[in-house]
Amino acid sequence: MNAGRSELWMRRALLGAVGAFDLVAIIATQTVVGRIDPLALPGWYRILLVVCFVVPALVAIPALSAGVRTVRSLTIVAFVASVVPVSVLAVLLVVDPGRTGQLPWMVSATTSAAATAAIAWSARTAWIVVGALTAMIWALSALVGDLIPNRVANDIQVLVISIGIIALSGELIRSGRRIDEATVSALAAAERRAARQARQAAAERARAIVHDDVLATLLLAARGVPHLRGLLGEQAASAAQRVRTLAEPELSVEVRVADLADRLREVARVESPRVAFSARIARGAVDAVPAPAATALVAAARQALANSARHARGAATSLILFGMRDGIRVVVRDDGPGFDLATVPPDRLGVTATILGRVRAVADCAAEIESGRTGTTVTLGWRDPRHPAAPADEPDETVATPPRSLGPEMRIALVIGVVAELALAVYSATVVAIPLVPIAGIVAIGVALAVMGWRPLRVPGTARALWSTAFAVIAFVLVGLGDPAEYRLVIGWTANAGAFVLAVLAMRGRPFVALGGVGVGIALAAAVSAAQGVSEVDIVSVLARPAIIGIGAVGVVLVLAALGRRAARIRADEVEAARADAWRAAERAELLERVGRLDALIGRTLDRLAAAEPLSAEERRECALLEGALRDLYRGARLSREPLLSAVRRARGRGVDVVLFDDAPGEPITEAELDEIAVWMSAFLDGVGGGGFTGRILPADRPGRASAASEESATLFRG
Amino acid sequence: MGAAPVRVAMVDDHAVIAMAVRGLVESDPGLEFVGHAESVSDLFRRVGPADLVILDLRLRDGSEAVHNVERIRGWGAQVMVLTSGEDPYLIREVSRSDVLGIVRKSAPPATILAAIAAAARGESIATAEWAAALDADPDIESAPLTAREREVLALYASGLGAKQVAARLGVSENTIDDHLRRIRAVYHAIHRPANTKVELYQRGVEDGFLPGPTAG
Repeated sequence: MNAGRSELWMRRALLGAVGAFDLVAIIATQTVVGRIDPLALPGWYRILLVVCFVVPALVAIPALSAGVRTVRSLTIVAFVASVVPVSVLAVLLVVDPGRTGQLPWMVSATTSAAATAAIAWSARTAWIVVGALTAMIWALSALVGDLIPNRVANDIQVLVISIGIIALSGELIRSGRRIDEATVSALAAAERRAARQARQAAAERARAIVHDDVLATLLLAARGVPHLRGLLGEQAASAAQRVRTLAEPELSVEVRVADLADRLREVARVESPRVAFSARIARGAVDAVPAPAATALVAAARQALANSARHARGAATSLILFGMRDGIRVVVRDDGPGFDLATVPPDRLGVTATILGRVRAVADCAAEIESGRTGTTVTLGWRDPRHPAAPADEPDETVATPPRSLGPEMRIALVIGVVAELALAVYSATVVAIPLVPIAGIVAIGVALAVMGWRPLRVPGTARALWSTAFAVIAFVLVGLGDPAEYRLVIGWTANAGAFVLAVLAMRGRPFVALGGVGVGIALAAAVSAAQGVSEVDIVSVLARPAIIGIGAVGVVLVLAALGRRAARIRADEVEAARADAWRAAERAELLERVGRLDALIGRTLDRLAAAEPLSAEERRECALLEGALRDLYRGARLSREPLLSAVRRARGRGVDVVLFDDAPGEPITEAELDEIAVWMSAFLDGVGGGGFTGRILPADRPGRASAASEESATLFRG
Repeated sequence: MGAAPVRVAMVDDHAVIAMAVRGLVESDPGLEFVGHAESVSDLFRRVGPADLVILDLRLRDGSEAVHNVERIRGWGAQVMVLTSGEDPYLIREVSRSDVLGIVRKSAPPATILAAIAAAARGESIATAEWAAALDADPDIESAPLTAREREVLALYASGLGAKQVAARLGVSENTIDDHLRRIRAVYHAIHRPANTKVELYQRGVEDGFLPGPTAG
């Protein structure tokens, strides 16, 4: 067995439910459920029975925190304990035949064996186990003359419960497996996405440093202005240091939330007197934010306000800082005319590129823009990574796709359950004095199921749930409307059937309505039975089972729901942790690679400039070439290829002011065509003697693919 | 006595660039370099009045170029933008604001000085960077430009100067300048806010989509 975390939890929870059920069953059978003509059995067997029912509860306790193998071993122990009573009894009756009387109720409790077999092995094994045990129990019943109506009713109901448990166990284990598979794919997707974003952010950081520091330094060095040599040296040293420390972690200095509020207040004041600033700090909120996050949020808030001032002139604008336990949120909202983000062409996604991009590039930060007729809201946030993840901003990929229909086992279980209850109704009608009661019971159950609806995976509406519960309660009450002398004849099968209906209702998402139904049903049935003169002992013994079925089902549903929530939280944390790890690893790898490339390309030149010594003409020329090559990567990266690269170097060496533009960045151009353009453009450029040259990949739908122009002539590349 | 020199200030977070531009500006007797600041707020605080501000398109304080232009225009100075080779989006954004021109930092010093001098005279400056960014803007397709204006823009974007474009099209340089002025005005009008129906109507009239109001 190689179970994931959710599947393991499902197995643990199911074993826990088996243990709890057995404990309640042994207590109930030893205290309130009596027998009319019990089979005479030795004392040691009675003790064995109790021990066998207590064992699953005992093993369930360590299983709750055990690993996969241990859970399986403990489940097998519980399984063995659950088949021991009937097996030992069979041996006992074969060795010492001739006994007559009622079998102990616990012997027929195949539910635990069914559940543990399904948990330890598979549903198929559980079906075989239940089939074999049921056959054995009926054979033993026949052997001791116990095929009385009560026994038949009991065994049919136990069979129905067992079948339901097998189907439910299989469904839950499969559900856990689906969640685990979805978690694995979500982790992989989160890692891929984080790595991609981290590489982009790292590339952006590297580009920013080149753009902000290196280009200016090289440009000035190429110009060779003597009186700026010292200043240039300082800038070169600074640029070299920024390039070489690019891959080092940023200082994790924090900004207090109160200081952040002051900075945002100042931003609001500077941007417009119309901006209303407020800070709403919750009790227990985080008190500090990492400096990079604070800087990004303030800058993005400033841009959002500037955008608002431009696009929603006269609109009321607010800037609100929310302090929360798990992070902070900055909201910029205006009530001016908004815009439809979906209709903004990618080329014009300046808002996204600046506000969203800047914030999202910082770890643990998020940004969203919503715009519509009633205004625009920009939400910027930082989430404390030490705090459990909030509901994901992105679609939750960790939630398994719910099944669209019931599995085959569930369908078979439902069919068998319905047929068994119908058979029980017919059988009851033939053996009781008032056949109308079982007939009314089967009608009430049928109506209750029909009202609940036939789509088994849809949560019934409140009205449907209440009506269904009402008919199930009628089935409970019918227990007390038969002949009081036959009160325990078929051990209140209508109440048990009503409890089944309420169990189904609980599992379909209405546990509290079902619980209420069980309570009302038991109370009314007890009251009606008491009014009919039925003894308290008989009432308790008949109504104990439906109570256990109903309350047990609701308990299982609630526990599983709680486990599911816990699993979801842990999954979200795992995804977040995987995302953060992948981000850090990819960012560092990308930065290290870029540092290496940049250092190899410009490190020596920057060091030379940092010395603030006079440059030779050749060195100045090299600086100009480097500046041009780096600039080309910004605006015409696809043109940075041979033989054009060499032609550009030669031209710049001749003093030609070369500019390369790629004005079709979103247009796919094949490598072969780009090579052709490079050959064609380099031939033109080699003929340019001086002045300026502009090489350009043209936007789509132009007569040519590229253009080349000097101060003397211009031409088009048509492919 | 000649006219007072035009006061030029610079906003750039690289002192060395500012110093280099200062050298260029001071080489023209018609210009006076009045100061350098690392941000627009710093400019207002520390530098005296200026007639023309040379603004770096991308400042490290995270401020937006368009917003910076608006603030400087509100301060009373004209704006010329210097760029290191930014992506066309930023150039388009700032082209919609009230700037006289966008010039590449790596352009030859004489070209930069000529642009500063032209801006100091209040003239608009057309460069290949500016034209290429506009020419590649998908929105330009829907702008009310004539075929000739689109042709002028495309030729400018390919790197030709006004004289060459005029020669190619067989018109005078003045005609080309007129076309460039109109292109600039039309592009500036794209995405102007139209918060009300009246403003929307005004934009329509200005762009030639709707007939203007007639007397009587």
